[in-house]
Amino acid sequence: MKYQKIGVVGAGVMGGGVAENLAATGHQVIVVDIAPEALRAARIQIDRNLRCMALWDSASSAADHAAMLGRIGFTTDYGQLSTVDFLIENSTERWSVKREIFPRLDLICHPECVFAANTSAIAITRLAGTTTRPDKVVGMHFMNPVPRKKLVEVVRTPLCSEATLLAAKELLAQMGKEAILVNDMAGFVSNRVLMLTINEAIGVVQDKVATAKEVDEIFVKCAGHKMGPLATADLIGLDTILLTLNVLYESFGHSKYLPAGLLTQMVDAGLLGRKSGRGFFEYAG
Amino acid sequence: MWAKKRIKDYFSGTVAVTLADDADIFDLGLVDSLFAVQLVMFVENEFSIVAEREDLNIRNFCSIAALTEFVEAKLAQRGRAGMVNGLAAER
Repeated sequence: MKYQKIGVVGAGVMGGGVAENLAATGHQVIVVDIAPEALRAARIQIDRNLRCMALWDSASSAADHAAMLGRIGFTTDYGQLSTVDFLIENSTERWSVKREIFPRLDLICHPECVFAANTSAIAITRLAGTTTRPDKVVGMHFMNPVPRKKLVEVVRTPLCSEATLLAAKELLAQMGKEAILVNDMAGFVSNRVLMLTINEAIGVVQDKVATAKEVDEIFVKCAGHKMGPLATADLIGLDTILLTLNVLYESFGHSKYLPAGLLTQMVDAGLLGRKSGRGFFEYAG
Repeated sequence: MWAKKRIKDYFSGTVAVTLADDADIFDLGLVDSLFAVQLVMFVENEFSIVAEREDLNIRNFCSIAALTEFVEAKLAQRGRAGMVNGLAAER
């Protein structure tokens, strides 16, 4: 494998999923997060997920599972990223957070190291501009759950080099994934379209046109979607939906991206979807 | 029956459509792999059982009926183990 040691910044749902996928495909991984509790929670979740791999892969043994987990280092020390071949950034969907992280990584990581931003909507060009290596910054929009979603939206900025795009595709191939290449603009393809659908579905519930279960049932049974928009929102995390809508609103200045009042209220109430145990639906475990 | 009711309630709260007991939720594409992991956690926490390596087969978790059968078998196994331990303690 060309890329052996991969840095993962952010130990939330996406960072944890990326780390798990990388470890399961034989990479050494260093996960960095400023919050020790986020690192602990990510380790527990990855351990569970790897254990449950046996559900689909009867050949996977407890020893494989232990070896995969053993390939992931968890740390609060950014300095450990100095030796990584490739870096995937998965911090919170806020410009104020990401604009601090990229210049910091720029100082620490090897000059040849490619930076992939795993962001929901923030324009990659804007992030690339905070580094001295804008030609080596690319968008990699992973879907959740990362280990089981085979396609990644790869985002090309006007400054991104062909070598960087090749590197991104090569790492994704090593992870067992395919890339679909799109050009950079806030929200890319997936979230520019999906966030409007989710926001409108929340509006429908807010206006008491239908319940969350009914809304989703219409999409599943009538439109043939695998999952309705509100179960999808719960899966992504309602806090991330709200942040993403705010990014889209700031980027395009169009009122169609204004978040539904119910969404803001649910986030304020801590009803974040699967990760908090309750959103539009309830979850255990 | 008690286990089945808890399992049905759980499915009803988490899967966005009404389900027949033998409907395969994975075949129908109603849920994803994250749900499968949550289902394992739910069963372990709710019924205080441990899904061993050999139990982690998607066939045990794919429908209300399959999961009920699995949970009831594990509970019966635990009950038998408890009786044996209890008898051993009395000696």
